Parts: sequence; structure tokens; C-alpha cells
Amino acid sequence: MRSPWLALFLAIIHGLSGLAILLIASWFIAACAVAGMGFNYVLPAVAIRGLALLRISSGYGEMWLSHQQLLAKLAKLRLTLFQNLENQTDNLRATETDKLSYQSQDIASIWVGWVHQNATALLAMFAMSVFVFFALPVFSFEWFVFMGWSLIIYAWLMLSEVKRAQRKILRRAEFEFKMEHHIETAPIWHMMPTYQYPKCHSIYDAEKQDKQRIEWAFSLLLLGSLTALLFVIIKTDALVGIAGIAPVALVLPMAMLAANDWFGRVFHTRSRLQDYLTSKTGVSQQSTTQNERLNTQVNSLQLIHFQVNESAQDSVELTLEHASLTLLTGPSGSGKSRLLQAISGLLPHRGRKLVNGVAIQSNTLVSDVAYIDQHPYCLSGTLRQNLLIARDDAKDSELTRCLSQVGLDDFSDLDEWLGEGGRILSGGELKRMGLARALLCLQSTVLIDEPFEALDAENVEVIANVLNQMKDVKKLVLASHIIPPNLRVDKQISLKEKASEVELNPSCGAR
Amino acid sequence: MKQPEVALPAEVANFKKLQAHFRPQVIVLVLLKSSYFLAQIVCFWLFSAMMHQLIVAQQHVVESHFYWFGVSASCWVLLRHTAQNYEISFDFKIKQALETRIHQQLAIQQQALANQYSTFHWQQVFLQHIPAVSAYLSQYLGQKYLSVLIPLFALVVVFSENWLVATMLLVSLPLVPVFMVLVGHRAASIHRKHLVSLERLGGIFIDRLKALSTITTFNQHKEQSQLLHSASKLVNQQTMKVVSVAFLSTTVLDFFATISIALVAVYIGFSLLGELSIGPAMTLQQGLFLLLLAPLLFSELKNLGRLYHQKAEAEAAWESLLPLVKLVKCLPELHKKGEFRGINWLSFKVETPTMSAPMLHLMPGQRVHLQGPSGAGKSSFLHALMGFIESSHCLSGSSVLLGQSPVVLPTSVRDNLSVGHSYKDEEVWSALQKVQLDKVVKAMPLGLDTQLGEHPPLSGGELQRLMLARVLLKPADVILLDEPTAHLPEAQHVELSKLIYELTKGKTVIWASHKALPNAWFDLDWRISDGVIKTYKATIGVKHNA
Repeated sequence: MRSPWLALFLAIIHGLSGLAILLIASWFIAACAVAGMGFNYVLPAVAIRGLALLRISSGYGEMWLSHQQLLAKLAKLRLTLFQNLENQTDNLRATETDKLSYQSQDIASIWVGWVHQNATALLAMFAMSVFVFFALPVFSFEWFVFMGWSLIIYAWLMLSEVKRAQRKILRRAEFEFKMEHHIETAPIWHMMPTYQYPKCHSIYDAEKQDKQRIEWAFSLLLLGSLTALLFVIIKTDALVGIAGIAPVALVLPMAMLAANDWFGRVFHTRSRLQDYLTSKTGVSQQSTTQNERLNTQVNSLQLIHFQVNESAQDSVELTLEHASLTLLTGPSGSGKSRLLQAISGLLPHRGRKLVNGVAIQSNTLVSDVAYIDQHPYCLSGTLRQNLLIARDDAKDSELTRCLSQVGLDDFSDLDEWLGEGGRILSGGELKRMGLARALLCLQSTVLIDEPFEALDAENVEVIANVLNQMKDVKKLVLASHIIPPNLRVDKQISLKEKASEVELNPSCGAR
Repeated sequence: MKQPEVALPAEVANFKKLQAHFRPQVIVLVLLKSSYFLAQIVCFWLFSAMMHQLIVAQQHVVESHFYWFGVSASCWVLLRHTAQNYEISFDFKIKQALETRIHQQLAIQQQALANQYSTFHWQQVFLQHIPAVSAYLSQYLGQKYLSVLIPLFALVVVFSENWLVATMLLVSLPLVPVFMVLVGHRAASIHRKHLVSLERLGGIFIDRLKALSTITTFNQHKEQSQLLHSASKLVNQQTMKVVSVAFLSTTVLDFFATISIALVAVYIGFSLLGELSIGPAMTLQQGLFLLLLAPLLFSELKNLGRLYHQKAEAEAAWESLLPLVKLVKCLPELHKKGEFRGINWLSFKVETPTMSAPMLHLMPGQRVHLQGPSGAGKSSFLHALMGFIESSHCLSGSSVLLGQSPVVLPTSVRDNLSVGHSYKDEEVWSALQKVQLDKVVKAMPLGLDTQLGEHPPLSGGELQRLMLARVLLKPADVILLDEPTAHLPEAQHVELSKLIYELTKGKTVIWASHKALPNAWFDLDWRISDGVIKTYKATIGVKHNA
């Protein structure tokens, strides 16, 4: 059932049977009006009712099947998109996630939104041609002129789309960029001589033009079909008296009168094609910076003249060989967080980073180093999922133990849903969730960003004790501007002045 | 600002009011669309008459029928085109009106409004929310009327031709909404059953994209992919359960539309044959006309169904637009040209956040130290003084506000300082010299014309001094300072504060800070706590600062 052809087949049945009902019905009543006693009326009457049932059931079948395929395709597409983002070091911004979300939808819905309708309309055109050619050859000329006219309008409308789709992306991207910038400069608007803003006008205007084009296509098709109809009537009129006018002559005018219904409706699908084309380009442009990953265990980590790429900060010297606690201090904005991220490989660095004595390239993620964000991210998921992100094979008992260690005892239900659509964590709770992850993870080196911020004095002491225990087994690096008195710091690096390593507790190094 | 062609009413309290405001346009649209239906029906009648003449009577068509058909067909095309284009430009005008209104609000409330939402939200406002509302107003509202008017109108015409067919259709027509409601309820109840899980699991894709760095640092990408896979599988199963029922509503409509046409066709055929003798006698002209009219009874309902999603989207979009289009009582003083003649206010009040001061006095040239715990509303108070938020009073004359975080344009140093004004080079250099940045800028490759770009090559303290130079360049009577040193380390805070003090000597200054500042710098001491501003004379000689 994976193939989209069955759904397409049903869509075609649905569309063609609708047209067939109209045409057969009109022929039928005309035939009834002129027929004598010998006319077999049962068969057409049954055919009409049969077609009606066929149309209804194929309509439902198509909707059901194509929707199922759409969902499956969407899921697959999103999974691929997600897999392509493996080892991505930046969280996607709201604009980007939103884009990926609707773009994947646009791509997945191309069959149900465009292919079905267009295939049906074109096939209907073809079927009518065959019918006219065999049943009403007299009107071949009128029909083929009309068909040519319709197909030219169709081709103009759809082909002009490809060009416009490109411009649409650029226009949108430009507006998004300008708007972002505009809002960021809000604090200085009042200093400017006049308030000026990025106008969305050009986007609205393009949308307006798009719609107007579609309406032109409709009007031209209607004009063409009604004109063709008049010519067909003139020709039929000329045949009166020369040849008898059979009921079947009604079929062609009827088809022309209803052309906006069975052919014109595809014009509306143009925007779906546009969305598909823009999204296809958008998704293929999605940056997939593949970072390298180093999977060896970190026995020693050495930083020499180490600094974050493109930072004005002084470089750092640090050697981590044993389980210990290193404290990174400095005022906010001095680049502590960025330095930690560079150590773990989440940010590019300058200088040298040696793992087990081997130099590591910038942009290489070190699997054995975990970085705990200053604002840990609460996944939209259960509490269990939120903890298992640190170590996926941890047992429930371990999870509960870690939670109670960091003082999150009231989080007892591991199946409780957190984040969007569930319990929202406070800043302090999030912080401790991050620490619970740090406790759980198997990484030998853990970098924790501001573990004591947003906690009250009591919890600061608790967390400091937890960290004191953790440093006996792991190489810990903390970045903090709060230094709890009970925290047992082995080394301290101050980023305020020229960064330098200060040995505080020489006995520790000998362990 | 150029006024759009369709202006919004001054007060847009709710969505109903907005809809009422646009009613005239909607009515014009409905009338235009109805008139093209009329032309279409005339076309159908003439068409049936001609076909009858040709096929049944085997005679030439009546010449006047032919010409009238040409006329009514032209009317059909023209009126249709006019109506559709009216709808499109109506939609465009609503978008313009909303865009203009929101920017009017931003021009008044400035950062007080802009900073309430993320930049993403602002992008969404213009790219999603405004179009959603305009589509609803321009398409759905009119369609709502049409889907009642057109079927009724068609039914009247059918009745005049053949009462029996009209009755058949009249019986089936009300069944459509009945079944649709039944189906809708059933689908809604299934949806409710899966609601929580659909919402939670449906959001996982976006959520995990936002959590990429966490997933990366713990090396859990494969596990999360697995999770995503099983979550979407579950969501899809549940969604299919809901839509299996929801699709029935479309099928119901399809069912009645198709079946009634099929039955009408069979009935007409049998009547014409003389097999049936119920109802009035019929000709091919009548039969064909009825056959053409019957779909019109359902087509507008179908269109309404097609647009139905617009309603929910517009309502959700309106929620986010409402706080932006609500007209804040504009404070006239803000834009009044004039001089600052001091403050002498009794019972100063701000509604949101609630804030009041029984008495506020300030002479030109006096300096105020504004204090209060963080979150007490120091920024809001300054915004109120600037006229950015609704309040009983605001400053007259020109004033300028310097905030906590530096705002850098990615343009040249010069543009960053002049922000749209034109200053002489000497003025700019002198301002840079005052803030001790002249050497830094001179060292830059292109001096004043150096592009600062997205990542300016300046430290936090230097950037804030650049902001100070910008403030100094602008001739303002009153300088408001909103914790300009909040993000700087202690040493830089002391240094920059001193600089600010020196450079603003002799000017009227209101300086909010919760970092310590020497009392000797100030004449007055205003303190905010619990929404009340109390004023004290600054006690000269006592220094808080270490």
C-alpha cells in the first residue's frame, strides 16, 4: 500500500465518473425526450446510478488512502531531515524549525494536492478528445481548438509558476531578515528621524498577483468554452434539416458549459505546486554541517593556547588527567559558556586541544565529554525520556536516585509529561534536571555551565555537595560566578584577566 | 505614514467588531457573486431552450435566444471576473490596513511593544496571522452568505419549473447539514479521545529540532530518531482514526450532490419517456435546465467546506493580533515640538503594569537616581515617561533613552552614530572622543566608514560607549538611562558610569540602576517598590559606591 498509484487511480475514477454522470445524464434525458417505445432506458438509468455510487465510494477511498500516504510520507521525510542533522551543534531557531515543519508538509502533500487533480483533469481532456473523435467527428475542429486554448492557459499558468516560486523564497527570506533586524533595533527607533519599517507589501502584492493570474485563467477558460459552445451551436444549427440531430450532440455543449468545473478546478492547485517547489528548494538548502565525532575514551584532556574561534578572549591553558573539579570564573559575558562549548566540540576553537595526547581538529565532537547547558533543555516528553537522554540504558531505580540526589524528590512519576502540553519546569527545576543528567551520564568529563544560578542558598549547598561527590569519579569543569563555600575546588581559572591555571589543592593531583 | 485605502476603525475591541467594520465590502462581494450566478442561470435557461429546439424539435434555434445567450454569457464572464478581483483586492486592502495599523502601534509604543515578542513572532504576524485574518474576512464571510443564498435562489427557480423536483431537492438539502453535524460530532469525540497524545507527539519533531545540541552532546541522535519514528507512527494511526470519520462529512455532501443529480436525471428521463406520470409534464428544455440547476444547490456548500479551516486559523491568528491592533491612547505630548519645562505632576498613573506616584517634580537640569529591585518596573516607568506605554503623563520636549544592551546596526560606524540624521564629521569625531573611542575607530581600516557587520569587533564596554556617543549626538532635553552598565563587569561599570556622569553634566537625567552609584551625582532619588514611586532628595555626601 506504499505506492501512491492506487490513490491516484481512485482520484481519477472519482473525477471522471463525476464528468461521466453529467454527460450521460444529459444524453439520457435527451434520448428519452426523442425516443420512441423501443428505447432501452434501463441500462443508462442503471449506469447513472452505478456511476453515482462509484463516484462516492472512490471519493472516500481516495481521501482515506491519500491521507494515509501523506502522513507516512511526512513521517519518513521528517525522519530523514532529522537524521541529516546528526551531530548538529546548534539548536535550530524558531524560524528554521517552523520552516522545516511546513516545508516537509508541502512536499508530502504534492500528490494529494496537485498530482491527483492535474492527472484527472488532463485525462478527462483526453477522454473527451477520444469521445469527440469517434462519436462526434463533425465537431472535431471546434473541440480541438477549445482543447488547445485550455491547454495553453494551463501551461502558461503552471510554467510561470516555476519562475515565481524562486522569487517567492527570496522575497520571503529578505523580509524575514529585515524584520528580525527591525525588531532588534527597536530600542533606537525613537532616535531616528522617522519610523521606518520593512514592508511586507511586496509579499502581499505577489500573492495578489498570483491570485489574479488564477482568476485570469478561469475567466479565459470560461470565455473560451462559451465561445466554443456558440460555434458548436452554430454548426449544429446549420445541420438542421440536412441531417437529424441525435441526442448525443448534447454531450459536447454540456462538457463545454461545465469546463470550469471539471478542468478549471486544477488552476487552484497552482499554489500547491508553488509551495512544493519553494519547499523542495528550501529543504535541499537546509545546511547539514556534518561534524566529526571522536568516540574514544578521554583519559587526558589538554588545552594549549586554547580559545573560542573568533573571540577576543585571552587563551586558556588547562590539563585534565584525573577526576577533579575545575572552576572557571569570570564576569557574565566573559565567554565562560562559549569556552565550555568549545572544549566539548560544540563550537570551533583556536589553539590546541589534545585528547590522550592526540591533537583534535576544531569542530570535532568528543563523545566522552558532556556539556550541561546553562539553561538545560526540557524535552517535550516524559520525565523518563528527559533523563534517558543522558544515558538510554539507565534503570528506573537509578533515575529516581539521581532525582532525589539533586533534590527533585517531588518528581516521582517517571511517566509524567514535561514541557509543552505537560508540566512546565521552573528555572531552578530545569537546572537540577540538568544536574541529574550530569549524574546519570557515562561521560568521563562533564562540563557544567552555571550550576548554581537560579537556586536558593539551601539548594546551592546541596548541589555543591553532589558535585563534590561527582568529582571523585569524573573530570568536572564548572563555569560559575557563584562559588559556594563548601565546593571543593581543585583548580580555578579566572577569565577576567589573563587566563591562567591556578593550582589550589596540589594534593588532589597526586591521587 | 501613508493611509491605506481601507482604514481600520479606531477601536477594534474584538473580532466581531472587525467583521462588522468590513460588512459593507462583504455585502458588495456577495451581491457581485449573486449577480454572476443570475447571469449563469439565464445562460443555462437559454442553453436548454436552444438544445430543445435543435434536438427535440429538429428546428433552427430562435435567433434571439442565440444573441441573448451571447449577452448573458458575456455578463457571466465579466461579472465573475469582477467579483473575483474585487475579492482579491479586498483581501489585499485588509492586509495593508492591518500592517499599517500594527506599524502605527509600533511607532507609538516602540520597544515597549516590540520587545514583548520574539522576532519569530513578529515575522509570523506579518507572514501568517495577517493573511489568515484577511482570508477569513474576504473569503469565508461572503461564502457563508452565499452558501445559503444561492441554494435558496436556485430552489426557487427549480420550483417555478417543476414543483416535484423542487420538493425532492428540498427534502434532501436539509439532510446535508444534519449528517454533517452528526459526522462532525463523532469525529470531534474521537479527536478528543486522542487529543492529548496527538498534541504531545505531534510536536515532537519540532521539539527535538530545538534540542539538537543537547542530543548531540549526549550522543543520542540515533535513539531520538528511533523515538521520533515510533511517535510519528502512533500519531499517524490516531490521526487516521480521526480523519476516517471526518472525511465522511465530505462524503455526505458528495453523496447527496451526486445521488440527487442522478435521481433527478433518472426521474426527468422517465417523465420524458412517459413512464412516470407523477408531477407536471416536462419538456427537454425543462429537464435539461433542472439538471444544470441541481448541482448549484450543493456547489456553494462544498466551497464553504473547502474554506472551513479558515475560521479556526483566523480566530487563532486574531488572538495574537488583538494586542497589536488595539489602539493605545496616543500621548500627544510625545510628538509635540517644544521644550522640556520640567515635571510637575500630581497623581501619575500607569495601568499595565500598575504603577503610580502621588507627586513627581523635576526641574530642567536636575538629575534623578531611579532605584528599585529588579522587576519593580524601572524600565516600564521609563517607557511611560517616553510615552511608549499608556500613562497619565509623559515627558514633553525631546528625550532619549539608553538601554542595557547595545544595539548595533550592521552598517558603518557613521550610520550607527547618526541613525538617519546627518551630522558633520567633526561632530561625530568629537562625540567619539568624548566617549574615548576615537582612537579605536581611527585604528579601524576605513575609520568612520568601517562596516561593523553582524559581529562588531568591539568589546561589550566599547559597544556601550558607542551607544553613549549616539545619545550624546542627538540633541535631547532629557536623557533617560535604563541600567546602561547592567551587563558589564564591576570595573567597567564604574568606569562607564563615571564617563556618563561627566558627559551628561548640566543635563536633565533620569538614571535607573540597581548597581551602586555615588549619591553625590544626583539631586533627586526616586524609588519604585510595589508599584509606587516615592521621591526623596538625594542625600549629598553619602556614597554608596565602594
